[in-house]
Amino acid sequence: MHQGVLGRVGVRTMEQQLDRAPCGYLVLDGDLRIVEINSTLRNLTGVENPQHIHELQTIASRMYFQTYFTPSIKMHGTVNEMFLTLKSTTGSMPALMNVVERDGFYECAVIQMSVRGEYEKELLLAKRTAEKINSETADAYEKLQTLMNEVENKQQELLALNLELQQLAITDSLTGSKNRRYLEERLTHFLVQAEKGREVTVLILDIDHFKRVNDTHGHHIGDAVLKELARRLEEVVGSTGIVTRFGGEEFVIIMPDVGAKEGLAKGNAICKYMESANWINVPVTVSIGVAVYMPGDEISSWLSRADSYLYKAKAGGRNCAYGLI
Amino acid sequence: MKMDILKRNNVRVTGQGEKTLVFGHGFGCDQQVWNNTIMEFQANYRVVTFDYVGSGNSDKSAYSQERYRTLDGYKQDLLEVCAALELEGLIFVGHSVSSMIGLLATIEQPELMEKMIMIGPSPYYMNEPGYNGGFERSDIDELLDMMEINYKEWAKYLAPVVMLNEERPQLAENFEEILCSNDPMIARQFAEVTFTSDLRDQLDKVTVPTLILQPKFDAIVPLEIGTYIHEKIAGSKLVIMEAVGHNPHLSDVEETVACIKGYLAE
Repeated sequence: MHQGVLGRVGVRTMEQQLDRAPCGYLVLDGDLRIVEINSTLRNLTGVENPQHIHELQTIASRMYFQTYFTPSIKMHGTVNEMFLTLKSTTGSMPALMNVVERDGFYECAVIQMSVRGEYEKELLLAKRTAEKINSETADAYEKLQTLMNEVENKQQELLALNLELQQLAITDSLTGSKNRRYLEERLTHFLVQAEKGREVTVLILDIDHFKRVNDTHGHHIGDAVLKELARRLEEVVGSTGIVTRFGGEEFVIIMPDVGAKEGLAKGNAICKYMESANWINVPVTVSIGVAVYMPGDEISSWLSRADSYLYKAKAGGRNCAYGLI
Repeated sequence: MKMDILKRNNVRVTGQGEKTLVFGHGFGCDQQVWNNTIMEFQANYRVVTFDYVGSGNSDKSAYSQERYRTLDGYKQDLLEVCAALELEGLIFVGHSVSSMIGLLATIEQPELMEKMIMIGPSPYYMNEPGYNGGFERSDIDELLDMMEINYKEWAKYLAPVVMLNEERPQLAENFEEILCSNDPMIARQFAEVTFTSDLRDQLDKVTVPTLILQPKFDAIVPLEIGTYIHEKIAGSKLVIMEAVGHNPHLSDVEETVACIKGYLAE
């Protein structure tokens, strides 16, 4: 018996104390061979006379140790709180290990953590469950996003389709001009405007001797002439009016903010324009009836007045406009 | 593209010489494990080290679970690094799983390597009737748990090393970024891939002269595996090292270097 630092008789040496300390103590050489091992660790692991650290470790621990311990200790000279599974009298036990390198030897303190280990396991399990839920949530969210994108795309498609259908519904399929449905809708609108005092004039236009064109050149050419006329009408009318195909070889042009005199002048200008045009298929001329809105007009009375003026234009020799100023 | 690859894999080229040595690190570490080894070669060789995507200071945003689901993704890393540097007739040194990655690379491009050196290789880590790989599935699971529990501490070990890199102080600043939340997942998947890949039927396709360095007591790879590989790779050479453990390039640099130099002189 030696004297301890406090001078009390019967106190053991530090070495003896370390041998029975309430934690494992281990010294390894550079090849991880065991140089010293205290009784506590020997008893905990139940390994009789271990020569190498591997004899104290489970297979997984050896693998982990090889992968992480050697590189870490070589590079840093210390390893803290490394969690390992060591062999024990009951099979295996979780343990924490702190290691410092001194003079080429590794001094290791080992603390058994069976209770903490259970807790760690539970934490790990909870973490994995949470991760799984998280990833499932993320997946579900992604799916939802995809679905929402699809819905949005479909909506856009539908919108575009609707727009197309709307255009189709008011377009004459042969000439590409606005059709009679559109004419009626616009006329209703301008009738209300005209009743409030706005000047509005309609022109009814008809191709001269169109039957002859059809009879001589066939319907195919007739159709081409109608298309060409529609295009030329757009050219000459432009933004001053709305060109619509009324049916057959008849077109109606609505001219807002145009009075009787100006309307007639426009009609005559259109006749001149068609007469002097360089027609691709067959040259044609047109006759036009011009009627300004009169108070008390309905759509039908307005149009039939214009139609009667068209008749007058035809009777007057064609290729001209007729209207009352 | 070239620069992207070199940055992605944190490629480092040092040394001078006609021939190029390429070093591939193993699972759970990065190119820094070669620091002491490559010093011995830089006088006479061009030396290339790199980090596989997901390891070290590689660009972890380039990691995809799909690509690195098998060793082929890692083989692709190696081939792309070599292509970016326009290497041919190189000498490849692979530790542990990297020797299998090198194996896949040389099978795909036999002209890429002049010699291949495997340190502590294993074509399959699992036990099977008639084959002693060393591990049961339960051992692998235990390892994966251990990695996860230790993750925070392990990450801290890496930090000071990064910060000691005086030439590139920006690495320390970026360190928080480098340790992105993906890391545990990447390490876990790399472990899965490493320990469950079975390349036994690939060994006999190797045509490049191969040196197998097997530590005489490797805690991870049973001794007989060295012989197993040696018998399957025609013209290979097996050296049982005096070194103990799975990391002779760390624990026994001198012996490792001597073995490699000896083989290169042949």
